[in-house]
This record gives sequence, C-alpha cells and structure tokens, in this order.
Amino acid sequence: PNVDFCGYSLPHPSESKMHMRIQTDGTVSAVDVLNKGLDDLIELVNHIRNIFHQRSEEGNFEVEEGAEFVLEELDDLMDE
Amino acid sequence: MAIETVYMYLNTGIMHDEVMSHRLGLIPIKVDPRKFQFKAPSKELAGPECDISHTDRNTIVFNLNIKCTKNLKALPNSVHPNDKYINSSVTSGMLEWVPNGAQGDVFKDDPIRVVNTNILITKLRPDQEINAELHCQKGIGREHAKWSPVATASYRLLPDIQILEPITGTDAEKFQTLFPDGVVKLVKNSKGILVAKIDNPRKDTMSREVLRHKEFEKKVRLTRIRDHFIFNIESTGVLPANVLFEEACKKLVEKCRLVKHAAQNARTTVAQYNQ
Repeated sequence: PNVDFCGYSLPHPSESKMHMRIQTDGTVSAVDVLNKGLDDLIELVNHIRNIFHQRSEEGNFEVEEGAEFVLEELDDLMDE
Repeated sequence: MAIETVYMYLNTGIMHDEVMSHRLGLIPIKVDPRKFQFKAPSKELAGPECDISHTDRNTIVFNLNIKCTKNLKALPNSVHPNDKYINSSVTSGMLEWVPNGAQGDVFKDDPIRVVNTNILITKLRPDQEINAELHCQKGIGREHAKWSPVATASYRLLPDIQILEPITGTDAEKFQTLFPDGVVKLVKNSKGILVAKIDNPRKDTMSREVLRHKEFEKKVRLTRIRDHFIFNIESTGVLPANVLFEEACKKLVEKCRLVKHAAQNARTTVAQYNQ
C-alpha cells in the first residue's frame, strides 16, 4: 500500500551477497517496511508450523509403507 | 552428517582412492544430526560449542575392512561373481560403526548405521583388500549436497478443473478415463443419467489428456488456483520428512531474525551518519 517498489537481485551467484531495494511513497520509511515485512514473514512461518503440528497430532492422514512419521515436541517459539 | 575424511590404509582394488572416497561421502548416515556439533575448520572459527579437534561430539568413526577371497565351495561352472567369490561386492552395509567416548551410551538403543545397506560402493576380486577408517562430520547442504537431508523438494499449485457444460452418459465414462483415478466421479442426477463431477482435483497431474479429444475441448477448462500450494518433501532417510519441514521452518525464522537485527543496526548507523 505505501510501497512503490520492492525487489531483490543477486549480483553474482557465487558470492553470498544480495541487493534489495525498497522504495516507499514517503509516508513511511523503507526500513520500517523492511521490519514489518520480516515480522510478517516470521508470523507466517510460525503459523504454518503450528497448524502443521496440530494437524499432525490429529492424525488424519495416511503414512505410506516404509515411511516414518515422528511427531516431535514443538519447542517454544522465542519472541524477542 | 556425512563421511568427510577417509583414512585409507590399504586399497588394492580397482577403484582409485579418491573416486571411492567420493562415493563413500555420498552415503547417507542414519543419525540425528542435531545431536552433534559442527567441527571448526580452523582455529579462528573455533568457539565454545565448536571444537577444532576431533571429539565424540563432532565426529563419528566407521571402519571398512573387506577382503575378497575365492569361494572354494563354488561349482566349477558358476559364472556369477557372487557365487565364485566371497565379498566381491562392497556394499554400504559393510561399514562398521566404532563407538567413541560417550557415543556408546547415547546411541545404545539406536546404533549409528547407514540408511540403506544395499548401496554398492565398489567391486573386488580375489586377494584385493580395502582397509579404511572413515570420519563423519556435520555440515550443511549448501557446502556439499551430501549433507542435505532432503532428496527432492518441490511445490505445485492446486489444479482447478471446471466443467463448463454438463457431460453425461457414455461421454462421462470416457471423461473419467482421461483423468487419473479419483479425480472424476460419476453421479446419477435426478433424471437417472450419469453425470461427471470433479471429486478430487489434487490427484490430477495436469496431463491435459482431455484436450486431445475434440468433443471435450469446449466443455472443460483446466486452470490452477493461484494461492493454493501443494508441497512435496522427500527425505533421504536421515530424518522423517515432517521433522525436516519443522526444522526448515525454524531455520527460516532464524534467518529472518538475523536480518532484522542487521537492519536495526544499520538504521542506527544511518541515523548517526545523517546527523
């Protein structure tokens, strides 16, 4: 909504460097946008993990022959 | 965890040392890598949890001692090398684990072994011998594919099959054969005629077999639902696939947090620069 441009590129695949460009329309700072994006991503991944764990506990799926399914404890999702 | 260093004491087989070491490195070892520490490659990178020396927390030792001999009980006209010689094929099952230090207690119930004992490493003939000590270390898939616990990981979008005009009767039965089993269901509608209905689009492989038949061309639309993803994760056997998924989520969150910290530090430096 406030972001005009958002993109990333890898200058060279062998180097572990990435260029990321965030451009806003001026109402918010680009660093805020970056932080919000990362926060959202963390929330998203944690949410997926929780749902996955819940559904695994319910056991409403098939395990094929020869495959393993080991349910492990969900350790605390650390908050900063 | 994968074989990283091979101490070759004796190798009179045909395969060169380095070629066989390469093959040994790719063998998946069935042990939970989270129970082990990384080994520091040099003194600068060593830390409290990361020793530069070989300890029982960062190295697993296997022994490979095979000698090929003639099978004296073989029949004179036997042709197959399995009958004529003993130990002519060196398989991954011949790796023996040597417990060191605390490993014997920690892994008493679940001894460290290879995932699959049938992997052929090399072949030998009588009087050829291999005597080697193999050291396993922990690593990540980015450095060498042998450390990746994932065989293949892919994703696809959920296929969406829309029937534009009703398909009935014998056409419906033919329609059902053009899709994988379970995708199309035939129901009897109120008039008693068989009508084709989409039952389970997940099983569809998007083969577009339908469009090869002219009569169905206008009646069906094959698209994908743009925000429904189906992921496939295949494990090499080291860890179960669902555990891999959860660990991957954890790693992704860790990386996000790293970037966040870095961004915060950058912000303070920029603010100081601007003043």
